[in-house]
Amino acid sequence: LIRWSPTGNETLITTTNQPIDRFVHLSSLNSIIFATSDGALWYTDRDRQTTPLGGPGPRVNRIVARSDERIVYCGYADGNVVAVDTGSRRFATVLRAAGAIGEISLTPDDRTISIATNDGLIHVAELPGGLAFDKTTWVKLAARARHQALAPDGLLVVLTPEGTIWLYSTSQRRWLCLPTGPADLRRVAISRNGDTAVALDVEGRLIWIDLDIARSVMGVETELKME
Amino acid sequence: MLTHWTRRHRPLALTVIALLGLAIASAAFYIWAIAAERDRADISEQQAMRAQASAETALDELTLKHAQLLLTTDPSAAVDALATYRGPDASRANQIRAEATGRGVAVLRAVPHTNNVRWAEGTGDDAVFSLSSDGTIARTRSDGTPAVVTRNVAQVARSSYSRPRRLLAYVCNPTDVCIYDIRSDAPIPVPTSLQGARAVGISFSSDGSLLALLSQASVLRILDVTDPAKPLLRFSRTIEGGNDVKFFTASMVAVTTGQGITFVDLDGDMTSFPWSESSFWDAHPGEPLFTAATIRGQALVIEGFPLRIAARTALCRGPIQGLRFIPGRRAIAYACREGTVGIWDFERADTRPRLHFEGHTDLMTVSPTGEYIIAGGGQGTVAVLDLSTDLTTTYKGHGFRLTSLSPPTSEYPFVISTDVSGALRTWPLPQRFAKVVVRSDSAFHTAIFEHRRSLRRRFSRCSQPSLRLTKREILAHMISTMCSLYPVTAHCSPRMVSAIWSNSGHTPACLSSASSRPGKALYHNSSSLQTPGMSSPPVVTAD
Repeated sequence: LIRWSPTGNETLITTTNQPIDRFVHLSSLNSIIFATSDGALWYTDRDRQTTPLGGPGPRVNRIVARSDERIVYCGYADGNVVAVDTGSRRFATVLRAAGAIGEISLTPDDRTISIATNDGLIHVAELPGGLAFDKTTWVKLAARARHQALAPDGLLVVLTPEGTIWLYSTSQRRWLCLPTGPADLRRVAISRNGDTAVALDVEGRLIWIDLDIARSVMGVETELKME
Repeated sequence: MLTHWTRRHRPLALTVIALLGLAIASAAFYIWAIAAERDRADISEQQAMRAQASAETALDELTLKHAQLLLTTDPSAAVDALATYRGPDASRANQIRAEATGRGVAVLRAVPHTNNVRWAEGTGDDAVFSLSSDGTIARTRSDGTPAVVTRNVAQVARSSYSRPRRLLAYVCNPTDVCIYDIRSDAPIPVPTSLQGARAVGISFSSDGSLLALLSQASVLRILDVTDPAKPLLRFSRTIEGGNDVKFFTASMVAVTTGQGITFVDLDGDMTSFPWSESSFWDAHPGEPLFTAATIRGQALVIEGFPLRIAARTALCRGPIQGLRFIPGRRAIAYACREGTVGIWDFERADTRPRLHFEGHTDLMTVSPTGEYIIAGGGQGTVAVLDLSTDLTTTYKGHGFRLTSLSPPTSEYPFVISTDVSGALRTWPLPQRFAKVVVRSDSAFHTAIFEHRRSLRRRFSRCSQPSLRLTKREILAHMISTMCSLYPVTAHCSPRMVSAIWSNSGHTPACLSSASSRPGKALYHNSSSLQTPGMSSPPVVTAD
């Protein structure tokens, strides 16, 4: 694990005997949580001391940190998602899904989470502040997600391999569907204020999505505007 | 006293007691039997209710699955299937409805004819007029109720429609030319000049004031139909071998012959171009441009004046199935029989396929505003290419070969499609909340939104936030819907895998890897590009 400076200087943080699959940098703690291919989860602090957090076990497919970096969500190939408290290093199970975790997305305020699994489902929930996930109510959506992103108001944008862009309002549970042709859609990004999204496909198309117009088509009101 | 009586009549008393006991036992047994029967009935009822609930659940699941399956063949029918759904999975039902809407739900479905519908047009009062080779012209109201308005259409169902005048001229009776006034919803009595016309070609001028007729005997007649009930002959000449006619300009028509195209003006001057095996042709609505295709895939553009061939190319490998100028552009939409629909920019000699039907293309037309190219093919599939968003929407549900397409107009902003079974459907125009803003030769890998204020000021004329994106050989671009694409820097390493922002939001970086050489991490700022090497390909994507 190497840290690069903008001037090109490299600093070796740590070395593991397994390939590194995923990592997340916690800038407020100046630390890194990373996963190796054997499913082990590691924590490297500001002094470059590396300690195991868990595993080995099923492979870690996604690591996503909350914006306040107090909790990190890890999605596993066996369908489990766990939350790691970066302060206490405690674990809590967030979700036990049937399919391997494909994508994890959070709203900027960390209140809404969307977890896509490779069995064609997306699990959406409002999250508690801490690690008490046992009372979380999950909404299951049927969509094969290639990639996904959440806008600040909870508008979920999902790309499917069949070339369909799905928009789902998590607050008002309304759908909008945009078939874009047979091209395999790959990535989606949403602007910070949530008024625009772009989707990329393998044919080299960049599709600009006006989310405000989409919301009006869906009949979805949003009061959230972030600059 | 009872005791005394019992002692004196002991046998009788015993008998009475025994009878009473028997009666009580019988009553108890009777009540028990009733209760047991009631319990059995309750259990049966519960079982029946469970069975009914189970059947309803199964029916609900079947309804959802049926609707889901219908999405691929007829989204309108999927919505119909969900109309009776009262199951618990309302979210899934709503999702299927949304997908059906995205794929296209017909606004109107009707079967006004029993045979090929050759022409259809919507009017401002939400009626659709259609002409069929079953011999009728029908008017279909928005509720789907059809009514036959005339029955004198000849089986060939050849016609020409003037949108400005809302006049439909068609072969009738079976050798006359009739005119139906769509505006007043009434036929115009056939004048003597249109009786026995034996027309093989009919064409209105662009303003609808002139009507060109070409007879089986190759006699070209041009009539002034300012008053369609009293046409006045303006021009007449025999064009040797003429088999079809079309207005080119207000005072000139084009006539196809076996050998080529002959342009005839009202003064009698003629100019001919050799062009055998002609199939489709079109005149530009605003400029003196004419295009024609052959059954072998060739196309040419003739420009005036003086008339000359301005461009010529091979558009298709087989027959061309449609050729239309795109209003507002110097470009032509074309459709190949083998399924390709594209745009020919004849000035730049640039041909670009834009969509493809499985099997074959049957029809193609362009909207009067030049915003939409509409094509039909496959098993009754309608495709609408929105040229302003560069996205294609396909409408399915006919299930039969399409026979005509009508583009959206200001009066009737819906697409109309008809088929060989006599059915017609009208479709809404695609929603415009997304558009293709970049079309690259190679795939993009990732994109991140730019939110630096300095860059916003730099591109202050852009209405949208800017964006950085990465692809194989380009590190970053500035992009917006109004500013198109601004390359910021280039020359990234062979395989880009990710792009991130630095914590400050001022430095984008991309990670790249290649199987045979060390990977590189690239950092970009406004003035420089650093490429520090890595000892091994990076396996981590930091997105």
